[in-house]
Amino acid sequence: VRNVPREQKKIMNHENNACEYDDRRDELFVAYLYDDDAAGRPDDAETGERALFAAHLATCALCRRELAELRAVRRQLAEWTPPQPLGPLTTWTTMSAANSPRRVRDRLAEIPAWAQVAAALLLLAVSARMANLQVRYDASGLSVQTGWRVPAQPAAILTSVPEPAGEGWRAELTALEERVRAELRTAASQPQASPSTTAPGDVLQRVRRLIEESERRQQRELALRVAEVRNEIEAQRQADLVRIDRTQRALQQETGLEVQRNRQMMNYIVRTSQTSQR
Amino acid sequence: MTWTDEELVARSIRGDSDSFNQLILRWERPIYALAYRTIGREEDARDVCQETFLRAFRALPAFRGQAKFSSWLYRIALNLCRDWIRRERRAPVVQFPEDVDLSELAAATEPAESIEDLVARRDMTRTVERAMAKLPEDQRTAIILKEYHGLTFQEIADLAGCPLSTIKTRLYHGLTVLRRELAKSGVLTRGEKRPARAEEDHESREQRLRV
Repeated sequence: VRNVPREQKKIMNHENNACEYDDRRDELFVAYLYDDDAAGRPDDAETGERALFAAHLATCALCRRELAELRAVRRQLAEWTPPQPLGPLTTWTTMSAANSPRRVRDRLAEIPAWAQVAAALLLLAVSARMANLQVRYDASGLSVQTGWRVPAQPAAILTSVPEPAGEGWRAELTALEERVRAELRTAASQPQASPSTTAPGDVLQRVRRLIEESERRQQRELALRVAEVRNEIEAQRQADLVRIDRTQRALQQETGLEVQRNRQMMNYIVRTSQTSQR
Repeated sequence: MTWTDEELVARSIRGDSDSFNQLILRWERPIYALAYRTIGREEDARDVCQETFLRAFRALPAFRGQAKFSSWLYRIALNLCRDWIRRERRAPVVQFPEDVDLSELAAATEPAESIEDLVARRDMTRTVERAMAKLPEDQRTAIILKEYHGLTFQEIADLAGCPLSTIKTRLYHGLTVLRRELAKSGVLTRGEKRPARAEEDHESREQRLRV
């Protein structure tokens, strides 16, 4: 029908009691419907056509009525709200944030100093092993050698370190080890301060709040259910009344017919008896 | 200080995850609402919402800013909704599990609202949802984006990848179907309801034009 001439279409529309605007009527209608709500801010560049359509509206009762109806539809649509989600929608938010470099630094800052020292020592030891690290501490001072290639006689080099001179760095390492152990013992003996000391009061309050919230919700839910049941009963009552009314009318109709039939019969009998008497 | 979406996107691309968190906080509710209205199931809408941001986060370096960030998110969410509908092989079903519905409705509303109002509002919501479920996917999407997200015709056309005129026609047809469905449900008042004869005429006119 797209190829049907405009005049012919107008005649068809007129015969069908439909609007006689041109092919773009639906589009212009929608543009008018929504622009109207945008407080004079046109949604697209059809302001000229909009003015034309506005002029058409002034003369077309069908379009005016349809516009009013579609506005009513839009008002009903505005009533549709999705259920409010309980809790956060994107649970991975914190995960992704925790993986960011800044958060990693933050978390490192929370690790105790002794653990950081231990980790550093472990890393140092592993690195030294991997890099063939050789440390000498002798009269000429501390000397460090490293290299990925295995030296020809590593054992000889290591044993060539004079025993008395080695005492110094060993003593330092031992002292460091003792210090780390002491810090470890201190950390282990300290009670888990923050959560356990503040927990009971906070937890109690939170539990109380949760219970109150749950009770409120249950009460509201119950009230809603009661109201719903009441509505259903009312609807059922209305339906029953309509059914009773319908049945009653049918009965009345049947009774009326019966009465009419009896009356006709009586009339017939009376007429017959009168005829026989004559 | 309130950053614009574009600024937050730029910062997120540079590795500032807090900026992306702000984008999530700003847009998760609209995306959830879009998903819920499109597929009609709360749990699945939540999943779509989460997946939308996950995909957006992964694809962020590729975001060049040709479109608005919100339009980009809407596109991702709509694609996910479309996948969901195809995977389920059915039209979006508006489900109202009684327990969930009532408790959430109660939790979501102000205490000042009376029970009668709540029930009436829930009935209205159900009616609108049922009417929306009758629409074809493309018409429903156009109406959701226009009515509830305030997108322009052009933005919807860009998202749907079709001409502007198609979007307007979809909106018109969608609203016409909704009018009929709402009138059937008795939601539209007598004065707002179109006379049967005129409606029939209009539909026959549409059919003729489509031939």
